[in-house]
Amino acid sequence: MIDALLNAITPFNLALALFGVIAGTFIGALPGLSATMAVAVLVPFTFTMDPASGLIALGAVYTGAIYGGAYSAILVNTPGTPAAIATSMDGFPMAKRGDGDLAVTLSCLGSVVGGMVGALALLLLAPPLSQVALAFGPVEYFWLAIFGLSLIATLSRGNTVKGLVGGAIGLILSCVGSAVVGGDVRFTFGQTPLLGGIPVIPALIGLYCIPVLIDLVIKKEAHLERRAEAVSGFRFTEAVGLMLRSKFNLFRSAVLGTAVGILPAAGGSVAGLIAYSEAKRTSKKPEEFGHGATDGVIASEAANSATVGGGFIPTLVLGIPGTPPDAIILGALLVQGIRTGPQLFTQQADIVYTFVFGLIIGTLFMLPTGLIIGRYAFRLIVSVPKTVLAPSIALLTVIGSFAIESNTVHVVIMVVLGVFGWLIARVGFEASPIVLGLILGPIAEAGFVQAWLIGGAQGSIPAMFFGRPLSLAIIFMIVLTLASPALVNWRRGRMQEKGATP
Amino acid sequence: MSASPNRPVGISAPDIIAAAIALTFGAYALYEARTMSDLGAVFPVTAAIVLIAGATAILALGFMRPANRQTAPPTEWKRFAYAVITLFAWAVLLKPLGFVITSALGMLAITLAARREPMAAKAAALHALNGIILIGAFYAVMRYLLKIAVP
Amino acid sequence: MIARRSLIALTALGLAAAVAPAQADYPERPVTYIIPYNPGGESDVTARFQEQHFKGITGQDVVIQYKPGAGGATAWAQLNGFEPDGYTIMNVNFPHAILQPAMKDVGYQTEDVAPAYIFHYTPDAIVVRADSPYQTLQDLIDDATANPGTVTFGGSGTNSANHLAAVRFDQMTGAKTTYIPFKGSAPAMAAVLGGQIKAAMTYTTQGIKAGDQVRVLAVATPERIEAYPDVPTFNELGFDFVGGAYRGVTLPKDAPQEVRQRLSDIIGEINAVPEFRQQLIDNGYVPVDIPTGEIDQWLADRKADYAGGIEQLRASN
Repeated sequence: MIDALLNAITPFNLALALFGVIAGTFIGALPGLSATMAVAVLVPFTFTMDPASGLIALGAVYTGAIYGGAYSAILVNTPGTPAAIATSMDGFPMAKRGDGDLAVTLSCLGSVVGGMVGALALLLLAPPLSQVALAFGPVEYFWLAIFGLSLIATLSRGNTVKGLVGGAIGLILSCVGSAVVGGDVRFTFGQTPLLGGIPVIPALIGLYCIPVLIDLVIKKEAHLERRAEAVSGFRFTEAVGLMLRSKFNLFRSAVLGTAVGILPAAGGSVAGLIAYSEAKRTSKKPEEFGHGATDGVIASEAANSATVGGGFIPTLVLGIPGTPPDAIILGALLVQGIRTGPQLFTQQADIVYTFVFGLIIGTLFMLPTGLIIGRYAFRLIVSVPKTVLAPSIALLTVIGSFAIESNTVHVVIMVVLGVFGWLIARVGFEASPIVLGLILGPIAEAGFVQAWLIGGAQGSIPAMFFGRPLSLAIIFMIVLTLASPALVNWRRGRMQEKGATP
Repeated sequence: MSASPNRPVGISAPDIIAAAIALTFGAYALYEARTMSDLGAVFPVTAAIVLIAGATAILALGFMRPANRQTAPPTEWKRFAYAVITLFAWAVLLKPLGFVITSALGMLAITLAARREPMAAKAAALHALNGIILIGAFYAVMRYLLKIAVP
Repeated sequence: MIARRSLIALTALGLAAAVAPAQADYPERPVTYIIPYNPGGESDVTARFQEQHFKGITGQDVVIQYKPGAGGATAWAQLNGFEPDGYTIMNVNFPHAILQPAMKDVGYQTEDVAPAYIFHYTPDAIVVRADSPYQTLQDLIDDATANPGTVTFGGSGTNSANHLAAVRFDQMTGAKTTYIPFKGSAPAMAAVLGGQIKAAMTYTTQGIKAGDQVRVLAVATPERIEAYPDVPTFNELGFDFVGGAYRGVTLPKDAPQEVRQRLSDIIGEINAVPEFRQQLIDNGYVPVDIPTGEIDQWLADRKADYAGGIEQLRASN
């Protein structure tokens, strides 16, 4: 292991990791330029390096890209990657009220801690933890997705009914196209470009970013509030203080993120949402969530960065990629002649450990780069006049939706959903429930159909859905989440009663 | 129109529209679900039920409690129309006209739509510079670094 | 009249002049290679293997892009919208590209995506977990015959190659299994490893990736494969079953014949590189060589081969 560490910290590898993190951060920050794309482009270059350096570069870009998504989530309310959806829920309100710099610093610290937890889990516990991926069957994925969807009920500011309706609209959007599981062709209006379904990234850009853009054009107010006092810089001490105060939240979110990262069909968006949901449920001030709660940003970022390390666990141990970027890296490993599997950690340990150390170094580099880039990004966004900001954002939405598959149809889908999103926001439907339905719907549906078929084959469908311990545990969490607002009210009522009659 | 705290019937236009949207989606999903396989129809039908129940609830709640009518500033529909038309044109013309031309036109149009006071020559030049740099940088990044086929 | 004729001649000349240089030394610039699936699958891994040798043979890079959706149909439906200059090529899989248009309207016909070269196939294989009670294929067939419907076969997608193989398996053996579709081969394998399903109807490549965590019961090749010398073929066990997912490379159908021929030659050359071939074989692929001239016959044969299974699939839907 020491050898591997020394191997990882050669000046060349360090430079590679630093460059990788910076490049990744920029790519992640631009909606539509994704971690998957960055890693895919880099793969051919890594063939010319020795395997360890190549892997370090890939890991660093990937880490940076997952983090970069936080910037656009906080500063323009548009998650740069799906993993940052939960970050935007509180990050943007923070930025709106003038705390964008604090939010950026918090997201950076949260990501570093989360990334470290994930990487350490990969380093120390990979083979046993990989069993988590196997314990999750279709029915567990179904319940996990429902758990994520249950967030809608507590999420929607003010109007739960409209939140649920929004979630259902998202579910219907997620059904569009030819169902991989089941084979039905649904809601395509006979249009072949819709057969593949609504593409997630263009939908995200449309639903989140276009409304921001339209408001920029039609409203007089500035995009983000300027603080009365001079922008105070990183607000580093303040952020560290906040992190220490919510250390349980931080740790829980990092562990949750690692665990969800291990699940091949889940990914960063699910991790961020579940950590966010748990942070809100256990918070003493759940009503602040959605209005700029610092804990929300910490939870989401710690969790999504932890999925990077977590995702490599099934990738390396089982040969089953945790996320799309993992899948590309797995392909790169195969080409390099590295055979994945439990024996990888014993037979080719030097390469694996070099890679893990590279990932850790990349995560640590995220701290300075993230803080510095974030600070300038925030200053820039605050000080630029609207007539510059609006067209620039418009350009980014077009590029982002186009670049993901160089498909102009996606740009049209993005604009249609965006205008639709802005219009229905005027009657009280928010973007987040729709996006949750869109992203979690397919996971829930595939799990449901598979569990139904397997349950049928085994002779008992109810036992399939309600008879497995792991499922029951998730169901319990769902009930807890749904009941928590009522519980909080009840407890408060009691406290007030007690206060009233001493 | 003075909003009193206890108006007798408080359903607001947004709520009616919201319910109508939910009903439309729900009805369409149910209609389409007829031709799907049993398992394929489960999610669309569930979503449709939530939508229809939701629409009913929105209407019922809207009638029951006086809506807290916020007096939002009037929407500048003209600017909205400019922005939306620009975006649609941008999306549709991207392929025939190419990335650079549509982006330049699109950015110009959005700038004009967002503009509130006349612009000095110097400011206009800076805006143009910003546009040129952004378009050029992204074109270069996509074309040469990420190797994306840009029209 | 004369003027008109010379105009035509001029136009023809002009066209020839415009096209000729494009064909002369194809490829002269990087070629975009579209994978109609998510990264990490067999199509992607093969493309990565080919990438290095493509550069070696032609001096040009290939740029790999992913356009996943509808089991490949989204990308294939777009194929003929690309510039037919040979600088956009696409991975195409069979039986997928025969099955999909046969099952529903997917926006393309099999002939629209006729490949320029078929370079390998991943043989169908039945894979179970290492501690499964099924020691042999016969154990599985016996169980599925005695308890119809209780044996669950996981595979990638509905109306896919795996689905077709599962249906043909039932037809051949008279057993009755339940097919469980997953979003790709990897989740199906995860479900086998986790004991969620009893077996996977998948490819040899997946079995190799999972190493000794799994046991392969049978492979659908004419002869035993190098990676699994101890695993019987279906033929040995008395079932006439050879096949899998064939992969090839295609380009828009209006591409000049010369470009199509040159691409076919390049891919053939890559397939002939000994170390490349060995890399494929080690990972469970079976190289085949169907150049552009033999494609029509090959497609007709495959269609005939799949006809019965497609009938069965239609009936089961």
